[in-house]
Amino acid sequence: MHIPDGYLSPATAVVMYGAAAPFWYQAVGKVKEVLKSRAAPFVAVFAAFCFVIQMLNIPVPGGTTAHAVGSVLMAIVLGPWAAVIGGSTALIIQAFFFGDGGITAIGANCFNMAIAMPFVGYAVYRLLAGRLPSVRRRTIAAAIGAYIGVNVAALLTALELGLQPVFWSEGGKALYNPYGLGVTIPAMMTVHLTIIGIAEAAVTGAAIAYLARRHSEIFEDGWAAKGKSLALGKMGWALVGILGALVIATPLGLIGTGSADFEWAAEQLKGMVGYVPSGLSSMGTVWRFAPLPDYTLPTLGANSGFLEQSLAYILSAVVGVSLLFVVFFATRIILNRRANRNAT
Amino acid sequence: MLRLTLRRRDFVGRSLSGMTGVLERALYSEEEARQPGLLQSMDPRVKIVAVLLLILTAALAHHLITVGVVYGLVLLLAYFSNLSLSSFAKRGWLGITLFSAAVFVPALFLLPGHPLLVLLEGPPIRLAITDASLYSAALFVGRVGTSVSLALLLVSTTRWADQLRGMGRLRVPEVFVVVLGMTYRYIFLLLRAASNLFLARASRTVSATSGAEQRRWAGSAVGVLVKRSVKLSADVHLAMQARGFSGTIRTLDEYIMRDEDWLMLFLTAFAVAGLILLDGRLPWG
Amino acid sequence: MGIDIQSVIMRLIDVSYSYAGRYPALMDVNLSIGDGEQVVILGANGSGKSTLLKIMDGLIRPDSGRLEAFDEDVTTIVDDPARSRDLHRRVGLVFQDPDVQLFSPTVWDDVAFGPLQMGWPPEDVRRHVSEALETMEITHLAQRAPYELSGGEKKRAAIATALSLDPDVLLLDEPTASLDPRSKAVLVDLIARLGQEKKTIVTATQELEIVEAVGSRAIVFGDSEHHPIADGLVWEILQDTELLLSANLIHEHLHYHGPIRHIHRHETAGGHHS
Repeated sequence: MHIPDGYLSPATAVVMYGAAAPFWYQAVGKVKEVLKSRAAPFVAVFAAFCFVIQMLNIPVPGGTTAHAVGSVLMAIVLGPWAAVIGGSTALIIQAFFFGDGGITAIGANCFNMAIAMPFVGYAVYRLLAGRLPSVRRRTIAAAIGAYIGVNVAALLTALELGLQPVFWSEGGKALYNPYGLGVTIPAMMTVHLTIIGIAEAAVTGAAIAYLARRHSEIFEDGWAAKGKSLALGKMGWALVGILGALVIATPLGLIGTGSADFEWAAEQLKGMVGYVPSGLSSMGTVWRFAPLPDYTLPTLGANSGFLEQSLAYILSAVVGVSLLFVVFFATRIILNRRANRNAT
Repeated sequence: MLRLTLRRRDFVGRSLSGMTGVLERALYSEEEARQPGLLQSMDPRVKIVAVLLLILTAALAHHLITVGVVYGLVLLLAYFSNLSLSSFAKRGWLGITLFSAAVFVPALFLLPGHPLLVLLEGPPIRLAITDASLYSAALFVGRVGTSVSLALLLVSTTRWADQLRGMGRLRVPEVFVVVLGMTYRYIFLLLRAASNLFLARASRTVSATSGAEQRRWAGSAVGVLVKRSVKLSADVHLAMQARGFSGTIRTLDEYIMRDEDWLMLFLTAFAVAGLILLDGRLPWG
Repeated sequence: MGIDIQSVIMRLIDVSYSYAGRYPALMDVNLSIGDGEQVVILGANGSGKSTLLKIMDGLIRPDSGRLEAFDEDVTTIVDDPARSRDLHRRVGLVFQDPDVQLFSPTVWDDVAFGPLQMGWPPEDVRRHVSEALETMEITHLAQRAPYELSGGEKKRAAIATALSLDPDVLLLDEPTASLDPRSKAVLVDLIARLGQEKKTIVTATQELEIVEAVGSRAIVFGDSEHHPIADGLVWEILQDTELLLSANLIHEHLHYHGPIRHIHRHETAGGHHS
């Protein structure tokens, strides 16, 4: 589910960074406020835990294995806000050091797996587990929460990928991910509704069962100063609500029908959203004069020329100024070397 | 991430080899980053900024030639940083890039355009590779490979500790930098703990067990790791307090930008801005 | 309890502590540490040694009793960050698990962590770090990551992280646990050298073989009493087989086959003199 670099257009990547940012901001504030000086070691160790979880192969019925994401488990143990930070840190390290997921896609990957997934999973767990759950009820609630959480993350991933050909294609050429929603949704969902969802549910349920039996103190309020302050909160519930609506609104007819044809995808979007942004249809003719076509806001329509021109102007300025500095520093280095050589 | 393996090795063996792989890769790149070379001697801040800018260029490019130029720059930098080019290229293009190429194969037949190779012709179905689809595939795979190679270039020439210090000096909040550093460090500890759990199981398992039993076991192994993490984080916090930590992290600034660093920074800025401009002005195709 | 102390640097009076209010770790502990003394706390697993050291470092607050350090009452210091920091400067604690102590990307960063938290100027930080690395003979490991170190190297790095603050008192929790014989000998030598420089060192251990090298006075914690059952000169304590047996520090077999224990002690005695 880790989206690599190159699959998402820069505009989508920026939007997803923007979507994740307020949650990161809130999460850092909440975790610092509640855990105080314990925040750094706590978050670090659990981010490491999250990373390690993703290395483990979980056996799935049918003889194959899959990796769990683990962020619902983390949300149940530490609270969803701590899971946001722990999961995001793990994803950032994966992107930078292990080539798992792209650097431009960090925003998207974090939003899917470290924000939407723990929030939805935790909300489901809370609703199902109730106040003072038995070990059995807790286990089942955790497993269902993990299953739904990972599938919501998969659906978001499919939507982000599937929207690429709608917005970013030129003369039939795909610039980024070439598949429309008609392909990405069934492809992602089939495998997540079956194999990966089961692995996630199994590992989360079993881990919660183990902890509930052996270390029940982890679920007591007040443990790790969790209590109410690190629970979902308004922002969390709002996100869960929006995502829930999205899941229900995604027309089921979309799945498994039609081709990956771009026109089709645009039509589908028209059907879903009700209109196609006005600038969208003219993108193909505009790009030639646009240095940064992706940043052309569709709503700007015919006036987009101004934005493009100023961007081109800024870029030209960067080219000129940096060239001056290149010459300046190169000369300095050469002169210094010569001076050093003469000195010795 | 969808990482299904079709090989019929059991989950314990696969988990173990996955974990060992991570440890080996990390140790290898640390070792590599210690070698002398152009990028190794650069200020980590410059490297981070340069790599991010180039990844952005690759992401913005609409032309294969632009992506090609970026990759050419990457190879040039790798060469002057004394990285083994064959192994560097291999690591950049196998793995996720190869996976992306495989993913694109069906799209080759789905994108409209001028047909180059017709596989099946019989209305209403026509299976053909078109010029547009081939170009899209090259651009897509090239972009992925170039981005992966860029991240690889940074990791192979910058020690982890230097990257963190570089980030700290780039005004990334210190809490975040410290957390990243500690996370990376404790990944190794927990990976080892997890490997030991799996090894212990491997040495005890003689006959095949049921899937349900395996899942239960994997779950309790994860539970053990949760418990371990809880204790570890509490202990680390005490150890930090024992040395005077009370919530605010203080670090030492050790980097001085040399002329060479400035030169590299402006060269990158020049190249990136120029490439993006040119990419927008190139005629299509 | 027949030891005369010249000037007391730390004192515990009737200190008790229990985990989660249920599991007692220390019960009515009374002990004093003299300035420049090297004291060994002997006790089996679970006798409360680690808890004792954490209380002495002001990391956890005793349930009851009093803790005095440097002629001040520091019992409730845990709740006072500024005074806490001062105590942590003067008392260094080396945890049993070096993985807990080494949390930074490199050994250098870890050794510099304490001095940086104290807000010392950069030159002082650098000087103290180099000195601590030199003392523990790990200057060549400064830029290594913790996971690249061997067990013995980790222990030395962990001690260096405490030494860089130049503490008046050094508390060592099981410094030689799970080390190979060679690393153990090197580490014991380094600790002994610190002692010769008149640093106050409190070493908690259950390994009788290192006791003579790292201390002159030994305090024995009972297996279940959770407070000291003996306090005396090291050589006296080590000869009291009945005491060591009751504290679960030696096994019956060693008692009945006495010579084995003697040969063993003789070997270590020779080992650290060579």
